[in-house]
Amino acid sequence: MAKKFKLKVSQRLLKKKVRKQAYLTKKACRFCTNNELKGAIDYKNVDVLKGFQTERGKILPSRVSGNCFFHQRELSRHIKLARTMALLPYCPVN
Amino acid sequence: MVRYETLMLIRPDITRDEFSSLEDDFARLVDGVKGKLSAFDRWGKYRLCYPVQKNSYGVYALARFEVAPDAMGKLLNDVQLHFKIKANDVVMRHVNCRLADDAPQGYKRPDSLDTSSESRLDPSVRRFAKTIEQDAPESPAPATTQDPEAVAPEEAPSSNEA
Repeated sequence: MAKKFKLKVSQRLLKKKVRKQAYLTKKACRFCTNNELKGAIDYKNVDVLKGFQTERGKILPSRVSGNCFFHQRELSRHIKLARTMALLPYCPVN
Repeated sequence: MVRYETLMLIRPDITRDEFSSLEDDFARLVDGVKGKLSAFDRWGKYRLCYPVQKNSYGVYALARFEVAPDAMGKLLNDVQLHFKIKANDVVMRHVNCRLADDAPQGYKRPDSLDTSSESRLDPSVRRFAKTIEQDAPESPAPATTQDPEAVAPEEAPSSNEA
């Protein structure tokens, strides 16, 4: 009877699998997981809101920031409120 | 009772009397609908992110109040009319925001020019001042008539090289 050879998975394939899993894992919404950030989304809290803007003053999309739908909508609403009150810029001038 | 807050952007050249009259008017509006004004904080002078009505600076004030849900619409309408007509010269912008029932009393606000420990100079002016210091030539040591030897050492190397 022929011996069955168990093929070893090469290191290259293992690394490829790990890379793919890291790409597929979804970012968790920091406002849902962290209790300290509860109530941090506020148009007066400019320090937090600044972190979700690009250099040109655009609001970061949720696929980049990792926010869930609810918190992304709340965040964008408060950023727009802060913009009307001149706490945040619409388009920063360098 | 529903909790609301109003953030006002006021002209930077507002006087204390004008601010107190604004506070009194606001309190009168809230009392008119049997509400309760819980706070009227003056944040201080801030540098705005963009000029508003040709002003680069502004004074922020936050008013927090509680009102019955039935009278909420009337109060917000009265506040808007008051800011548009009577306080038009003083208040540049305002925004009303409903607070959650479990929202805390305290809140975070950015540092004002009054409380910040840094220089009150415009950052662009500060940068310009730094370049002036770098480009300014070093002032030569004052040559005194009593010490002619102070000038002599500068001339000595050239004579030696010759």
